[in-house]
Amino acid sequence: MIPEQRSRLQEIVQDGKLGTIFKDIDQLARRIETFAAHYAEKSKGVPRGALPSTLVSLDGVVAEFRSNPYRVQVLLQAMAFGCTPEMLAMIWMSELGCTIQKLTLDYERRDRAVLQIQLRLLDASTLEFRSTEVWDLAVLRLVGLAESDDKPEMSGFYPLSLPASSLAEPS
Amino acid sequence: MIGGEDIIIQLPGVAPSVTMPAAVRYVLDRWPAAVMQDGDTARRFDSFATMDFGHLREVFVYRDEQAFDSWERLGADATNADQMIHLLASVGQFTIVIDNLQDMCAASIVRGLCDRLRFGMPWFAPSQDAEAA
Repeated sequence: MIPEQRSRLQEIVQDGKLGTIFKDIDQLARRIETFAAHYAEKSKGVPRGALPSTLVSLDGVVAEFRSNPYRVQVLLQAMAFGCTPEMLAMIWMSELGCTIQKLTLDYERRDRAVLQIQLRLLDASTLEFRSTEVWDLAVLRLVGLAESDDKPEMSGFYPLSLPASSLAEPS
Repeated sequence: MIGGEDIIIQLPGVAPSVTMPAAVRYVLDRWPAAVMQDGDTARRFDSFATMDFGHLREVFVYRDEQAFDSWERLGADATNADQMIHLLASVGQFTIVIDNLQDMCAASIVRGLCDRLRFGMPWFAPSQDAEAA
């Protein structure tokens, strides 16, 4: 990682108030590269035009912060929660406009937590994501909910945010 | 000429760079062929991925290409009623401008969008009634 990248990534982490979690910027950079590699793997075999032709790499993530800080904040918050590259790739595709077509959670205490998400890509084809890691359930903290004509909709991921007043210590 | 009704949603402390994509995305779910336009620069966006929400504070969302073209040609003409939603975001406040709240489709979008921004997002924004100005 070149010094400029490190410095920019440090700024992004501070801006997102994640400095206490991502103390080691080099390690964070490696996690972003691992995510980017998994994104590339998931994209293999996807029809041309099904995903935006956006550069997904450490450079790309750093550059995206200038135009869409919330997308990068979501990604870093998901990393902070311990989400796997599988779910990070799903989140990033969603941030780029793909929609959650189906989500299934199969949980039984002390037995299993299986999260399966089907994304509808830009050309209406679908891509499956699956995880058995309990920490991946954190994506449910970040998802946007809505109703359209009284029908449920999970739409996009957004950074957790608390107004400053609610963060004040009780006196 | 057509008029406009403002629906203002208070979202204390929430940044426009987050509320605007949440709103645009909701309208896109309802109008999948929508065309978006930066209200400040008139720059047109054909996809959600290419929008730079870090800078967008005012967005026009047209129902489809035909609506966009018609607005370009005729502006706020009666034939363009209910073909576009105007969104404005600032820190702590989001405004939806539509032609006519009596239109069932528009009213449904506004209701869904208000609920989404107030209850459906990962932020804590005390419930505030939308105000029609």
